[in-house]
Amino acid sequence: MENKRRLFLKCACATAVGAVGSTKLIAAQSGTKTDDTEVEVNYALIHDETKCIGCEVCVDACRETNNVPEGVSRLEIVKTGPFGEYPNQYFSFSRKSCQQCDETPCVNVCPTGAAYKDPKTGIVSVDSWKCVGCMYCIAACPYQIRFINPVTKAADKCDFCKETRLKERKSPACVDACPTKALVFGNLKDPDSEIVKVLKTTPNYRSKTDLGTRPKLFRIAAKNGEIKL
Amino acid sequence: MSSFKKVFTLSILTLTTFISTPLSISYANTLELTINTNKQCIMCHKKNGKMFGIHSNNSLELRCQNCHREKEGHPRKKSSLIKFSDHSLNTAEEQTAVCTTCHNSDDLTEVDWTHAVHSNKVNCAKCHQLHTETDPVIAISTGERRQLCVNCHESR
Repeated sequence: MENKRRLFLKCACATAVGAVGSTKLIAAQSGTKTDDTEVEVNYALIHDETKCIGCEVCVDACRETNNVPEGVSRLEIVKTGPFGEYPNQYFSFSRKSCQQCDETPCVNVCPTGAAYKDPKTGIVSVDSWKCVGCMYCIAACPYQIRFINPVTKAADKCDFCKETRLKERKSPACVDACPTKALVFGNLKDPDSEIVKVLKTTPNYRSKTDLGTRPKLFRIAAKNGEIKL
Repeated sequence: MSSFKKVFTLSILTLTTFISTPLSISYANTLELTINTNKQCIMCHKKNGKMFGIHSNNSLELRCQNCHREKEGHPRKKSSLIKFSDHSLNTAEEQTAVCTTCHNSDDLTEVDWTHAVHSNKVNCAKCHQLHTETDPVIAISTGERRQLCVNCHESR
């Protein structure tokens, strides 16, 4: 009789431990699986400031493709200069658009979940129907690239043409329009992609990396700002 | 009373002529621009068309030679004449130097930043036309303007 009770208790304990263990294992496995899918594609962009001529063809292409109304823009080219003495003057051009951060301050502050990072592509996007226009994201973005679209009344910004051209398996409008090929778009997770090759071979920088936002808009500096030894 | 009427009509007439003068003067100017009476050049260059536009304004007192230099031995012998175009024998730097004698480079950059970066690399006539009544490049749309950049900078 005693033996039976002991046996029952032993069996019960063993099954309980086994059940808990197996569910945890399954959970862990499924967890790693979702992680894998998250990192399959991670889109990024390079703006080669040595090639950029400041023609702003990209700005027009973006406006046309994404129906961005006048007065606001997803993409701007900021000109600074002229530097140097006439006639050897030059300007520097900097792209002002969403940096597609890996650590997203805009998503963190969004109270409705309208701002989100697409797990399939790594692109930070806005669900305009969820947005209530509280402008928290506009305040939170360290790059100041978000705006309220006067037509949809929702926060808007560059999404690498996710809803327009990426769906047709085309590269973003700005990349296609650039006459000097100053923009390189691609998947960071694909070692054979052009973007990875360029990043591995060319010195580049990103803006405000000290904030820990891990931006994915890489820049190739036009003029070497270092002193010559 | 009749004298009053006369005075009234006279004053109205003078007023109307006064108001309409700017139009008639500008029309007359295009016909009688002193720059176009420059016999030394116009005698042969009639077929090239006359000089209109802002640079032909009489008050500027410009002559063809101010920009194109003295004729010297032209057309048979050597001369230091300057031609403003891509096909000119003069370099872009020589051509822009003529324009920048009057047009300050800083002012040009303020009007349009592209002046600064093209300064001695592209001749002014590549974008601007001075002999026509209005310079066509001033009225182009942003799309056309961007196409102008692409025409030279296209890399594919």
